[in-house]
Amino acid sequence: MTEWRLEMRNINKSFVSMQALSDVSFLVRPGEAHALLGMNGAGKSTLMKILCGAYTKDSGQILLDGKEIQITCTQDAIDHGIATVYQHPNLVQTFTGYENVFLGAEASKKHLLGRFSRSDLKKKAQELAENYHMPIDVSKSVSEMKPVERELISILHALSHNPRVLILDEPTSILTRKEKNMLFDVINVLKKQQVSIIFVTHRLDEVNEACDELTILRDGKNITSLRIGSGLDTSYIAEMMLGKKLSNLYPPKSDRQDGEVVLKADRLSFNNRVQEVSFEVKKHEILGIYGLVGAGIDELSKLLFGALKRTGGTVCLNGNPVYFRHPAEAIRKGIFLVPGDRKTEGYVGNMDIATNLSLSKTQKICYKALGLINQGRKKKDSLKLIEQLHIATPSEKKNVAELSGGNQQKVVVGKGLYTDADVYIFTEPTVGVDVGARYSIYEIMRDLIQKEAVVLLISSDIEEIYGMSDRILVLNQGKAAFTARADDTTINEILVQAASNLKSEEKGKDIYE
Amino acid sequence: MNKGAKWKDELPVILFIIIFVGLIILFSIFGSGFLTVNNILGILRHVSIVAIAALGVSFVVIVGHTDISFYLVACFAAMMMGFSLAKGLPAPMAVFAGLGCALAFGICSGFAVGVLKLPDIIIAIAIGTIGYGCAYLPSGGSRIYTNFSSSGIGFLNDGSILGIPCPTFLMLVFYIIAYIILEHTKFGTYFYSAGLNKIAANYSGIRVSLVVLVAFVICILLGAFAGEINTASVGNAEVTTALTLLLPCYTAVSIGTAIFKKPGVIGTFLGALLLQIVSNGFTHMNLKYWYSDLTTSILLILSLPISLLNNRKGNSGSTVKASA
Repeated sequence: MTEWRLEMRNINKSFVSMQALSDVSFLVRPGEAHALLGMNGAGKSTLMKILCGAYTKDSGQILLDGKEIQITCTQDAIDHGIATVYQHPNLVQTFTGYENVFLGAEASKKHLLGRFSRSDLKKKAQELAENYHMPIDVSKSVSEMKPVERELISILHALSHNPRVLILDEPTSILTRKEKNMLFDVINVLKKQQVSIIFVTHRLDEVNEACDELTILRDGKNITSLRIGSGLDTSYIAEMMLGKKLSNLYPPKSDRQDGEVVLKADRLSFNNRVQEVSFEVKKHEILGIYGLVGAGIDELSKLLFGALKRTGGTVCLNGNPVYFRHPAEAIRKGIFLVPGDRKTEGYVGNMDIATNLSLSKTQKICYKALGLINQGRKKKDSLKLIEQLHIATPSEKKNVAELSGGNQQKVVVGKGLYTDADVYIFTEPTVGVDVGARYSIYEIMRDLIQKEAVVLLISSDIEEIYGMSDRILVLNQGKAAFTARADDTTINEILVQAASNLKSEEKGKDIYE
Repeated sequence: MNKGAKWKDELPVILFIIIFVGLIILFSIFGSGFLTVNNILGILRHVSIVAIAALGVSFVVIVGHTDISFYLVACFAAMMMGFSLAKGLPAPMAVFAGLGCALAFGICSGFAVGVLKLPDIIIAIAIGTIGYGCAYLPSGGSRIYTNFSSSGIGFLNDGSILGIPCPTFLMLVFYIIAYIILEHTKFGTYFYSAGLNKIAANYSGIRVSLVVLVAFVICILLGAFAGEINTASVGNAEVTTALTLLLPCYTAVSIGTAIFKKPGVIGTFLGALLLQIVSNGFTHMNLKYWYSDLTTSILLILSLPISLLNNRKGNSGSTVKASA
């Protein structure tokens, strides 16, 4: 036997425009909980997707208990005993817990046309749960379960394959403190049974609590691996995750004095996903709003744009209260959203660039009468925007779906510029955008605030928030947790504010002390 | 490789031309009197009923939906037209009375699908059944002859405007207007973007629910008008007047989508024309009408994978090209 349960050695993976992983190695011992840390785009999900069979590696080796294995599809991974619990559990809502635990198993050869008894399944599921000391009633229907129970059901589903390696992808993002403890107990039981656990997360506090060892990836490369032992130096870890080349990735900030308030939100709420968030955006500044998955940042952007209807609070634009029932009204009043999910929300893929660019302000390319399009104007204006934004395309007639991610995003931004808005909201503007296009999108944002506009940058990419914003607001579980000028704070502080558990802080415990 | 891809892109067009020309040759050889001026004018005249209804269907398909109730509502509209004539209304008023009834139905299904986001097929089943049920109301299901020939409604089918037969003229007018709207106004952009990506269109400030509603109204109005022309050509109002419209309309739109990779005015017209040539040619070959229905159905089924195949290929092939 070797020391290692799982060895991933010199893994390389490249996508068309970028090297996602270069020579990454990742080693996990039996019965150990191993945290895999990294910022967005660091390559941790790519690495995990290779392990669970969703992607295939370009080169490198995967060894399980010293034997090399080939993983070409998800079933291979399961057959080798590598099970994954995804961030958003894929459960059948109307089925009971035990039916979900054995989902897919009833189709196995053993059961095909053979006896398939519900009571058997239920008994087996309950036994499995007791094995791991999970306090759960598997006969309940999933739709009636609490989030933690669903999480446990999906873990049980994974465990029903008797895994040797269990991947937990952001398992705690929706759980409360108490529920997390329950989950950590389960992890401890699994460790005793010599199951290796890979814990993919942003939350440093949990790494400290639940894991024995951690590996940090950055830009698709190994940065460091270390044992956690007694305590964790969170600022060191944050630094390792970020690297130190921050300054030249972002255009210089302006030193203009604050102007008057352009957009002001007061106790803005949306169900319990956004809770009483207040902020102001002043002329000539970029307000960065940072939050982890589930913090409510995407909802916040849509509330301001009228794509979601707020359930409480007020919004003032240039001093006047506004309420938008439809994005059309927001655009008319001078607010534009570059949405977070570019493909489904941002552009119309099977439509040409020129039409997409003018989509939000069609009246600019139309004659006054009858809405007839001035084709010459449409072409001229779109070519102007294509040149201004350096969109790489042979023609303005090309479909947006055929462009690269960065150019697609530029089209969405260009659509916004064409509306001459006063307030631009950029949600996750650089996800899936290559470095060059990133910089030019940042430059556009800087240009915008040099003129009369203000920019809200809403992102879960902390580097971006820190590098671009003049002021920063941090959301944590739907609430405004922290606000500061970018010059007066550090990335580590932002991370801590975004990742710490509000409930434990309310009790006065600081887990970082 | 690039050349091959291009050739494949043009495949549906080539296929269409081969079928189109092939059928004409076939019918000229085996059918007596197919390739005569009179017959060709006849085709252009008879194509108009299906072509007008199919134009309406194109709008609904463009916004990404389906309406299989329009032909049933068209029966109701035609019956209301006959009923109004029987009550002594002048012909133009009767036409609008029928259209008015159809409008109410169009607003209902448009509201249900566009604003309330209910599933279009199921709404169509309900709305269509109500429409067809209503068609029985004016006369209890019997044909309406009263005042029919004396009212002058026959002009809708037999008359001619500027030397062009009235149905053909109206068809041309509708097609030209629709072409201008869809290709050269912002409203066309709204229709297409609503069909291609509803969320992105909404986020671009287009009121997608309204656009969908309007598409349903256009579909039902044009369908109803086609039903009225058909009724005028028959010489009396009967409940079943528009029942044959569903299959050819969807086939026409689907053929058009297969040719041009997106539903549109010209494609729909070519599709309707092809179908009319098939049914006319079969008549000249003394084949029974069900052979023509059979052929239409086969064309519908064939056109579907071609249009889908094309779409998929267009997407994946081009992403690779763009990123390379």
